[in-house]
Amino acid sequence: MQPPEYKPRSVRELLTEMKDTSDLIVDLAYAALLYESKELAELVHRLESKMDELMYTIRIMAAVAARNVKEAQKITGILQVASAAEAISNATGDMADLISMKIGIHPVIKDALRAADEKIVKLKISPGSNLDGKSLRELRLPSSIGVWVLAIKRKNEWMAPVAKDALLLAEDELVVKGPLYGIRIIHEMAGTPMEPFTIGTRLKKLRNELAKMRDLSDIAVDLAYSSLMLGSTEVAEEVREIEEAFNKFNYRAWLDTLKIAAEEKKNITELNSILQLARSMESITDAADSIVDVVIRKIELHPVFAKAISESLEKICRVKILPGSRFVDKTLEKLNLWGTVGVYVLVIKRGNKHIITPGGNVKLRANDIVIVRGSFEGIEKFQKEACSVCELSGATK
Amino acid sequence: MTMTAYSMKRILGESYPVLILCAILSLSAGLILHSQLESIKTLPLILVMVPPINGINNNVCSILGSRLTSALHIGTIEPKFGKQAILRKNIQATWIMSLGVFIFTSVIFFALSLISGINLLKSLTIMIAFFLASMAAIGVTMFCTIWLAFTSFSKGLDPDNVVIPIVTSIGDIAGVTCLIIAMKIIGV
Repeated sequence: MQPPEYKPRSVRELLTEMKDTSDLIVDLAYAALLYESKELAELVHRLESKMDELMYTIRIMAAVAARNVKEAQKITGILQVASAAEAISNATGDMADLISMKIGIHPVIKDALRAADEKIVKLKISPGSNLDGKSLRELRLPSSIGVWVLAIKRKNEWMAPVAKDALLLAEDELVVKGPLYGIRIIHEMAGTPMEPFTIGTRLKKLRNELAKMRDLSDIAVDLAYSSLMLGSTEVAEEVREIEEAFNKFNYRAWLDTLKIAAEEKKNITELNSILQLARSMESITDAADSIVDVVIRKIELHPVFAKAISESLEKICRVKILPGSRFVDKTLEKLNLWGTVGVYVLVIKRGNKHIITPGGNVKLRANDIVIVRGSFEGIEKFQKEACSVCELSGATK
Repeated sequence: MTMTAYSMKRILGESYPVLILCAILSLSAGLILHSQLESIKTLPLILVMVPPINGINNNVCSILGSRLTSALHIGTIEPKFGKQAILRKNIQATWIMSLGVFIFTSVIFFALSLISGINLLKSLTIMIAFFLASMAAIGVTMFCTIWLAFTSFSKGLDPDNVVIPIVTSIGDIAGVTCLIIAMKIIGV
């Protein structure tokens, strides 16, 4: 690789960009699989090589920055996290390879990706619709309906990451992600009918396993970053638990796939794509594990972590629900936090108990500590209504 | 490829321009001192003051420069003057550090001038003049250090090979100039 030209960028800035890129690239890889889109696969590969460059640069800057043993110890932690982000992007590159190498994608993969909590959808903006001519800054999609625009296709070229103030135009194609509720609204805004989320009934067990694996690997990464930001070994231990849960599903998914292969004795390449996907998701979960390793090792965390993560696009924040908040004693389903303020509840901490990725029937209680993921504005809104102040969040800016 | 990193040619190539600049700066410091030969003759103690003021000034600012370039690369400081908690803390620490050391040396100069037979009042003024000169020199050098650290980061120059040599040379000029101005003011 040709060494890139020197640009004055600090380790902190680079780490933020690596986190943002790794978040983005995972979703784009899933989008590429869902739509069997060669163009999106190409975009994933482009971002993957950008990630290599970032990794190279962060190594250089870290090497220059270390001046004594103690500082160097802390910096190895930063490099370990950076490598994890790069490992995530490499795993997505493998997913994209399934498309670009024209390995058939098994339909159960698409079903599983559709069944996961977070929906990823490609849509086109109709002329004269509510999105036509609007900038993302004024639309504030993440904090109102929990929808993020991941990539824009204009003049036959996919662009990602999308600038915060990017202008949307008619005939643009978008890749967006968000909760089902928000996805419905964005379709209305774009003036295009939503393709029904028909999830095939084939191989229900395998599909559910794969869907669960995708959710768990996403959450493992989010929680890994939050453990780093909060310096919390507790949250780090949760990531370990999630990884164990993931491994169980992974094991079952492999067995089920192999069983099908043994029974059907056909579509072997398509069945292979399931294993490839499982392997990529496993690499992502392993990357989360190597992030929390930095926290669990108990080497003092570098202050740059908290800053870098709080400056990233999707923020993670710990908010206490105070008595008197409108959230108290309501179920998550009723509150629809994801669809209305754009925050996704990762963990509820109640006393000594942790509820990881709580379901819709879980009620919030006073004095619960909630770890949420969302946009800066969304989290700000959430805090206000929780009557609480965020600890160590991006909202300090 | 691996050889070039340590090759004689590269070491010389990187160091010569900086060293020549440093030689010119330090030489001017010497010339400034020489131009004041007459005043120095009346108070030879000034000559004793030059190494401490330059030495301490340069050391304190080299430490600052080194810390700043690390902080810039890791990203706890951004390359701009302005409100930044960590930058402010570093500057404060440098002030406090030099304040302590210069109070100590000032007192020693007070004692020295008393011993060499200068009266109490004049010894006191000499002490204050030295102290003020050293603080002024630190101020100027510190500003240059911060600026140089920012520049070395923006341009990707080696902080050890560029910032520190230039800082120490600027420190020499600042030290000598401030010392002579202070002595002029008290009328030596």
